[in-house]
Amino acid sequence: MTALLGTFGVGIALVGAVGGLTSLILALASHRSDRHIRALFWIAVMVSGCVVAVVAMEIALLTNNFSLAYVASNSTESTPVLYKFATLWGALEGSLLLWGFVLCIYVGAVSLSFRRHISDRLVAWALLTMLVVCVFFFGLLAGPADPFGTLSSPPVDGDGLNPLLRNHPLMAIHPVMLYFGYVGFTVPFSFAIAALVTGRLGEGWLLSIRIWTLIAWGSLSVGILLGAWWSYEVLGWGGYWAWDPVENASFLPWLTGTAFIHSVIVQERRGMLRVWNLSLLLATFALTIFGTFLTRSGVIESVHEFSASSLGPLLLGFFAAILVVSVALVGWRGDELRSPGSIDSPLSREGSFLANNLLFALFAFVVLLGTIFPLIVESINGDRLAVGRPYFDRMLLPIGMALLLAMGIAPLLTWRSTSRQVLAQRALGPAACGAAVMGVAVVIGAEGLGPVLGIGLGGFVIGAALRHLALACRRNGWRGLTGRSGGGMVAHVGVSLLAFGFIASTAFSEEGEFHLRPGDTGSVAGHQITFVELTDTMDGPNRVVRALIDVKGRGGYSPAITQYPTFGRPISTPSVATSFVDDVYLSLIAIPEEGSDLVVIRVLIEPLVAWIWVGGLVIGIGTLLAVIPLKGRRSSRREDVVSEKAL
Amino acid sequence: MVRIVSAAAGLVLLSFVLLLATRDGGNGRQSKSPLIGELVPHVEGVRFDGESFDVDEVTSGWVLINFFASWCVPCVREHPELVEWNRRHRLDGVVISVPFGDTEKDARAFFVEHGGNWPVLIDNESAWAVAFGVLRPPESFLVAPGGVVVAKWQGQITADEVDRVVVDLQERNATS
Amino acid sequence: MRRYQRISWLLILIVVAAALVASVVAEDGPATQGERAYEIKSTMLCPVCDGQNVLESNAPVAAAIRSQVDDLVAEGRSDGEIRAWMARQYGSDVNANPPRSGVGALVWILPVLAGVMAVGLLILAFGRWRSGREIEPSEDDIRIVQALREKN
Repeated sequence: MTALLGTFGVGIALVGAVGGLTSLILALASHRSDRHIRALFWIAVMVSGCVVAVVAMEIALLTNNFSLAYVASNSTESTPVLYKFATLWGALEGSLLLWGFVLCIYVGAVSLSFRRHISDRLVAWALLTMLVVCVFFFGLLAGPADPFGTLSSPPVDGDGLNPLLRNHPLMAIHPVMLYFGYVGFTVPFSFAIAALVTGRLGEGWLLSIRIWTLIAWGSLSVGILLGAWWSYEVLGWGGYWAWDPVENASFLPWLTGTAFIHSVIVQERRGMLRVWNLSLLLATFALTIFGTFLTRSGVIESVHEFSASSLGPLLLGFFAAILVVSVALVGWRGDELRSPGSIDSPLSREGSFLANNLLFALFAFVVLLGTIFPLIVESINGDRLAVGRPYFDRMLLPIGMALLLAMGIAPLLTWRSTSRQVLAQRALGPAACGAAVMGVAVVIGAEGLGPVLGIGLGGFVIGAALRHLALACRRNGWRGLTGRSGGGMVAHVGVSLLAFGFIASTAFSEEGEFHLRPGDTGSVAGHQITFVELTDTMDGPNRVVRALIDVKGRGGYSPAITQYPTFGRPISTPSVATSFVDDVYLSLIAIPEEGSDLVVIRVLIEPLVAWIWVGGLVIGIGTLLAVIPLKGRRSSRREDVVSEKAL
Repeated sequence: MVRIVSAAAGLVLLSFVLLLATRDGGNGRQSKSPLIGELVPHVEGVRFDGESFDVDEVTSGWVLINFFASWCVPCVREHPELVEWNRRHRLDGVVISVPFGDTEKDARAFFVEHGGNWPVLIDNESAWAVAFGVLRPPESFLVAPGGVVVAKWQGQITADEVDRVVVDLQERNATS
Repeated sequence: MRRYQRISWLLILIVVAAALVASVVAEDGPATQGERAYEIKSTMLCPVCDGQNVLESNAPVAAAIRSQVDDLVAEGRSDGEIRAWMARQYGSDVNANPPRSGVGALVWILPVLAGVMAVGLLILAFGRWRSGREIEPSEDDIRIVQALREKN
């Protein structure tokens, strides 16, 4: 019954999407703008169908309905409720259902938000593009990726998801945030296509979608960081970013999206960089589809991938179609896109945004190159090479430093042109801040040219951001924190905190491996641990061996090894003693052999790791602040210009 | 100018898509290995029953070297196939099992539970595993009479699959 | 620039220079045998893991590789020999860094080239924008300005 309901829901959603698409095509073709509004009805149908499908799947999961193949493969009776709920997106078909659901939310919200302008051809074309994407995804759900297939003889219990997906609550949040990011970029993409098609390449549509772009970007930023945090807490190697191909694929749209957020400001003020900005928007969306393709096609091996499936060619085809349409439209509009603007001086805020874009583009180029290089080489001469973490770390370090420098200088520059004296005067405070932070770091014990320089630059960025915020608050009270510049500065502070955490935990971490009997102690970098005792229990069908470790000054922590009956290797779950100074990361490597009571514990000391997550939180707060308008709804761009110029 | 750049971009992107389209997604059954065609690595070891073991003792016949682990679900599933293959080739071949990433206690318990009377080695420091380039259990290597490694399988195998290679080689040797 | 500003900048420069020098001096020198083994292991990938190197992974194959690297380093093999040996067994993608010669070198060179090109393009663009603004006043303009000047 639930399966039927779910299939029905998907079918209705597909019908709604196709109906909406058709009605818009007909209305646009006949130039009857009063007919655009019919699409709203079909969109409502689509959204309802999708809601029904999602509810049906959740009911099936929460009631252990193993007659559905998806539930039987991915859920078990003993899985806790939160994880059963999250199993909706735990495997391939379900993840596409989530994608469709988030897409419905965005399309619905955009329709509501623009309903008064629905007769505008630009809006109609944007909705049309969004509906094309909907048709694709609901088509996949109705056909090759049907989550509601049934089994003729349902098993008594299901297999369950990979245990790594069942032992941390972030499973319930990270994928959702990530999808709100990815799917969210469909909105600016659609408007970009609409602008190209209708020829209305001026700035109006850019303003209309500013909030949507920020929401998508903010969600993606937070989503990626939550993913890093989750890996850190669960995978056991003490790291949070491995430059894995799938991680890179999620990072690429973030890079182009961030470049866009900055360069769009140049477009608003000087009317230039239109082609570049359009390309960034088109590329960002294309990259989200590329990432989707990578995780579902089996082309690159990764722990993040869903099982390889027949969806690969379909997703690749969709990706190719997006590329073709984008390039064709840009090529068609050609030189109509170019605007006569220019930048007066490299030493200006516009100039710094240009530098910022160049750096982000270079960053993205390196990440993309490193990710696909093994594929290229293999197709040329069959050699298998790896491009691993050391490559990315080494190549991206200078670019990252340059970006920090640009982040610090930009708020100090004025629009149009800044004289060197003015810049020196403004930079004094922030530079002092940077120097102070650097000095303190070295005194505490930081070493290494790169890390110390990076820490200094981070201090510089914070100094510049705080200076801007202080001036803005003096002028406008608490509202100085809001709006694009206020929120942006808060986000910059968040990025600096993140940079501190990243640099410290990468460059200054220490490690030790200990063979301990109960009562033995070990010590790494001033932290003492004592192995108290081993417990061996059954948690439902799973065997859990825990080592209780007392971390001096922080209490008891229990890294464990769990054996799930349907999965191969036992899974090691780390336990982390967090503080704002450093994390003591404990991992149980080996349980005692017969006749011995010796355990092997790996201890990692990671300084300032928590600041990465704190930095992420601040970035999220900054994004929220940025979507609050400066002076209520009547805020016009001119207000922004006036208050920013004075700073 | 924009046209030229977009045309160039289009070409680059098109070749990128073609590149992706020609990559194959799955894993094959028989795998490549640098050992194929080479003499089997000469490693000595100690058997479960305490006797010492030297691979040269058995290379006059077919040798199926199987790396397994007690916690490995496909290993459990393929074990009856190994028993079958051993039975079929009791005159001209032998299975050798090597535990990989496993404790000796668990490996012994595995054999007590699932049977199989052929040499099982104790692989100190995983020397055998590294010599064969084993990634994850189960992995199996077929050594032809004379000591040359002729095939490698990653994942669960069946007796028939192994025998297909055996028969194929026997036919080729007969005709040449 | 005012005096206090000059002094402040000087102070900042001194602190920064001192910090950078101290950071370089504090770093340790090159490798003992244990450190060599560590360095090799930290750039050798566990073949069945998600981008983790063999030091970080708990997989049995990682443990096997670690112990083998230790043995080979103790035997006195060079870094190159060890990497080549492992590459033979597990495929050349067990080494985290692509080689600096052959096709692999491209991945190191291309980003540098791209960076240089991009900076070059920016410089060209700025040059074009700047020269676009240098406009010579026309004869009429000069006459009008002269007339206005004489009037005042």
